[in-house]
Amino acid sequence: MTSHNPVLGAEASGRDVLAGSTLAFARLRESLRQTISPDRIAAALSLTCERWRSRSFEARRETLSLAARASGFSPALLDESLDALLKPFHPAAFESLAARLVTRPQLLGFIMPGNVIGAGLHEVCQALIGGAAIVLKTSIGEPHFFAALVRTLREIDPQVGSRIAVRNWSRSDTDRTAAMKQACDRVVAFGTDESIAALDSGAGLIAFGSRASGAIVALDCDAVVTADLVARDVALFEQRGCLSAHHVFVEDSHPGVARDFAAELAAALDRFAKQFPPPIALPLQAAAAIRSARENARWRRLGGRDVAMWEGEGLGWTVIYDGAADFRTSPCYRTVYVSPFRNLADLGRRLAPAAGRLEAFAIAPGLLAEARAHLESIGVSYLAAPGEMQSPPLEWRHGRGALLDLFVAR
Amino acid sequence: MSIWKEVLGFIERPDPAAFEPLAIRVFRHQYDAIGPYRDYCRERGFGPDQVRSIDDIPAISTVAFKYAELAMPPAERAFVTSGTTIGPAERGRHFVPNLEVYRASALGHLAPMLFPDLARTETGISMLVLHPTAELMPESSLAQMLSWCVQEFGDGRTLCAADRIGVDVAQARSFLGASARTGAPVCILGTTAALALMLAEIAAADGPIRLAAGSRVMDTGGAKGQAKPLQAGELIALAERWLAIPPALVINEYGMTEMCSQLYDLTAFNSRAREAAPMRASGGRPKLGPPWLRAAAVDPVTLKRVPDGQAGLLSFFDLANVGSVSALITEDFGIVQGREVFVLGRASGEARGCALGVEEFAAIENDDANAGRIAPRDLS
Repeated sequence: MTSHNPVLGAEASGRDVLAGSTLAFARLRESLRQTISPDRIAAALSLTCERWRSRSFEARRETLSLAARASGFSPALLDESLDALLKPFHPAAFESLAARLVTRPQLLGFIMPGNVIGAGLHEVCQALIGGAAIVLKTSIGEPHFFAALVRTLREIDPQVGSRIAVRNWSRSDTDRTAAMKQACDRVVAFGTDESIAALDSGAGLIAFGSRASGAIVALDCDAVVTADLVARDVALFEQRGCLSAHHVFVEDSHPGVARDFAAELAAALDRFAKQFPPPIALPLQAAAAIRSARENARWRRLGGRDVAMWEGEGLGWTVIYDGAADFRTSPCYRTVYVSPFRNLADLGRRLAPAAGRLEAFAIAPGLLAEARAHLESIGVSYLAAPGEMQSPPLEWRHGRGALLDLFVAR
Repeated sequence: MSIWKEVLGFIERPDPAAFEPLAIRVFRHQYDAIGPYRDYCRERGFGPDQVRSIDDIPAISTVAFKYAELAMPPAERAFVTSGTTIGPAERGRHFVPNLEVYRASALGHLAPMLFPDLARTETGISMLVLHPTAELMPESSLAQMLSWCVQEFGDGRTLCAADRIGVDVAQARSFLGASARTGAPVCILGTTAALALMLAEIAAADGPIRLAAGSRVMDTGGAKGQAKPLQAGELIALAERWLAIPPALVINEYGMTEMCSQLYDLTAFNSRAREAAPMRASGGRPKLGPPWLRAAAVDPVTLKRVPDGQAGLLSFFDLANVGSVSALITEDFGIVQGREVFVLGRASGEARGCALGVEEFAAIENDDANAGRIAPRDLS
């Protein structure tokens, strides 16, 4: 990859950029020589997040404005989504994490996703408090959040801020990616299973691959309240994160309960859309995928299957009730499936095809005790009350704790 | 005159001015005869009284054929999609009540697109078929089309080197070798996957087979069935290298079980206007459908037609589908420019939650590599 340099010329410029990266990696490695206590790192991060929790914080407003332009998401939804993400990043949580982790200095290379603003923040904080230095490669699609956040961190504590360098380059710039892999002790990558496999980073790779989430609704819940909470779990971040609910399973010992809940969820998504509008325009691929989901549902119903559908204006939101479906990932952008389950054995059968690809579930408190063991056995890392899915705790064992465990006393 | 006769008459003597009035009559016939289609139109608020132009006719997604019987009984034949994309459980079924119309459509457009020279000389050509024919696979629309092609344009020297299990590449190579020695041109018909397999084996085993001038290829199916899909233009280059078939005589077909008409690559072989036309960066060569097929690209949000040159879901009104539903929306992206169609690739595919942005980002970065990938066709 090259960029124009009037002195050195384009080809030399590419080498220059690579040399600059190598220097940055060396500086990060050097920063590990200085001991910084976990408490100090946690305090700096806590103050940083505190500033970012304020909707009037200038850096946040600028970042979200850029993200809204790039993604087409409504500013109101981005604000609400970031609030949900930052909610657990409070001082007590940082103190608790600092007390729990041991310092294991190492240089980590983070390859960030572009689907959700702020995705990977838990792992960045865990690694920094655990004494790591980080070179963080942002995605072309979302280059702003971590760059701005780290600027705030450096203002608050330059020494802690020197432990992380944010860079942006294209994946096609394989030289820079290779240089990062070579310089770092481990690579932490977020992406699809295919894109992670393409990294070919061997044993040093900690991967957070393709995952989706769901919700489990109890028979005795207040349907309207629960639907509003689940709608939030579906719609925040336009459903593009691994913590977004794609399929809602409703306890259904009486016929029609799940279908009725689907109708409530549709009404809730419609209410949510009025407050937090869907994108004005969708990417063509996403629009086609939602159209395909709708037409499949429509014709399954017209063909006599146990299917019903509620459609928001344009492709703004979609609820598909499918009485027979196993867990399905939706095309995102507020598209959600609803299905009944008779008992936990039935639920287990419906989730089985997605085992290993499920990250989180919103679950009614009354069902939690019974379902926890099963959900954890199929790889679910986070169980939350409805409405809380986008706010996992700072100590979240994302991907079964693959990163967190590097810094936990053995 | 029955609607069937009207459509057959149009296929035999296309009249652009008559297309839209006939399309509306075909729609009304289908609305009256096919219950699930009528239900769909009513849901969308369109009945015969609301349809005043072809753009008003409600188009159905091709996925409808998986779940509903869009049929006018009795069906002369039911064609079934291959199910390689969606799995065998929910395969689309296209009930065709009148094979005469289907045959007229298939052959009526094959003639100018793949055999423009034969129309002048009225002689046939030797055929190598790398897909089961209708006798072996009656539920396959492609098999039926290939059988008609052999009957109509073959010279009696035909080898079908495939059955339900696979392609007999050794037999195919032997047939091509013999044809090369006698100097008789060959028309090779089959899926892109079968062609790719045969060319790989020729490259590995025999070296080039220099087929006689006038030899040609018709492939279909794109990436489907290929472990490592060929990129745009690769098959064309391989056919030239290993079989000495010029690029203009390697013609890709775009079609589907749910539609009785097909589109073919426009090249210098079948179109004088295409002497020097380059392949488009995305979408490969332009394709042309017959006069009884109207193509459009539609916005997946509104289902309205987008302006020429803008990408959307490919949509067709196929008069030859008179026995089922003529107004279709596919799951393929494409660009329509006049009557030319550029197929950009599959639109469907489940999203997978986490890190979709990375996936899109990767897709953008790989756009050049993916450019011109031909959309998979259901092989049956």
